[in-house]
Amino acid sequence: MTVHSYRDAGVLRISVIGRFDFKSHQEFRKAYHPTVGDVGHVVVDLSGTDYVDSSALGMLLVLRKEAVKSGATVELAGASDTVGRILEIAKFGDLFRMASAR
Amino acid sequence: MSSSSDARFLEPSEVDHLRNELREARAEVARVRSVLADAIARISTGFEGLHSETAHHRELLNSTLAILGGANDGGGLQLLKFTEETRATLQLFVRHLLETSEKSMEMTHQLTDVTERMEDVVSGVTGVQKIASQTRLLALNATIEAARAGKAGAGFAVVADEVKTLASNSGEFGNRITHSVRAASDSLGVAQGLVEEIASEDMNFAIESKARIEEMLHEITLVNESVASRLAEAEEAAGALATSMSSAVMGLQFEDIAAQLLTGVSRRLERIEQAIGGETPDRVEHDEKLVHAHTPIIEQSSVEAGDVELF
Repeated sequence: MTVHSYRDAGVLRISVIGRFDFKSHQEFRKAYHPTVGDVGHVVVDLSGTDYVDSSALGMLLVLRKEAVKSGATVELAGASDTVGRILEIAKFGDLFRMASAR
Repeated sequence: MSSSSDARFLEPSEVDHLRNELREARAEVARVRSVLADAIARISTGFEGLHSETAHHRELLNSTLAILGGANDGGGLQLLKFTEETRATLQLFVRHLLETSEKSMEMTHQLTDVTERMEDVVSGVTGVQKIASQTRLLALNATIEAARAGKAGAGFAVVADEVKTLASNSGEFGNRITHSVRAASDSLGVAQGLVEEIASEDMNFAIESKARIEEMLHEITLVNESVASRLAEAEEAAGALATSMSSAVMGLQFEDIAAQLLTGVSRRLERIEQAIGGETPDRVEHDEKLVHAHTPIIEQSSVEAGDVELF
């Protein structure tokens, strides 16, 4: 599991590569905390993510909570079929902007 | 006319014989009528029984289909409702799971922050310990300098000794703080592990459950469709049976026709008998009677003409 992040023109882009589970929590949080208040939009790129468990969904929800507090929007992009199905069951389409896999 | 004049040449014994034959013939015709009426009555009763059995059978079929998941409203909808409820339960479960995971992750972040603060405390204490050991070194130097000053430095030596004790005390105090903070960090690590267990749930169960629910819905739809078509088939068969039965019942009208024909035969025999006996009816009247005897038979000969309502 690796987390990459970079900021570009008010957009924070976070990529999670490999397994996205509890072990990612520190790295994932460092990618947006506490700077999330400085950007207007966050894109979580899941195109390299091959597994998510409930803790990963919990982390995304915490990220959303913090982003919403500062008025930023969060987008989930490029989820694979398996990951996408989990996001669908979790009804994340109601909470996040969803962009399909490229 | 020639036949009636021929009859006058018959011997009286022959006339008697013919009369007996005619009487027998009339009796046989009457028996045929009664046997026919009896048979028709039995057949009609049989059809009535068949009809009520068919209706019962149809009722049973309908109720069975309703229990099995008929398209009419009972079972199919209930199964559908059950599946919808299962779907809602899964959704509720997933929602609770997500809420738990979200809270757990927030707690994890808090625990991580606390652990980081504790590391700050440990590094602060390390600084204090460094100062303590430097102070101890300083006190040692002061003690040496006090000894070198001899008697005049005796008081200073006492102070230097006190400073040394203070430094080693604060060093010891720092050790205790470090020890406690390490123990607290270990406890936080254990707590973090517990939170990890609460937060981490493989989501494949949800995917599998959802797939099973979709599959179930699909199967219910298929069952409903097949039940509906079977039901339609059964209804059609029942309708065909009813049509066959009423056409069979219509066929039973032959009894009326046959009975009338037999009545005609009987009358003719009677007239022949009378003719043999010499009591010849008036010719015109006789012909008219024959015509009247024919008329209803012709009218009734078409069985299809009237719709028969048996039941």
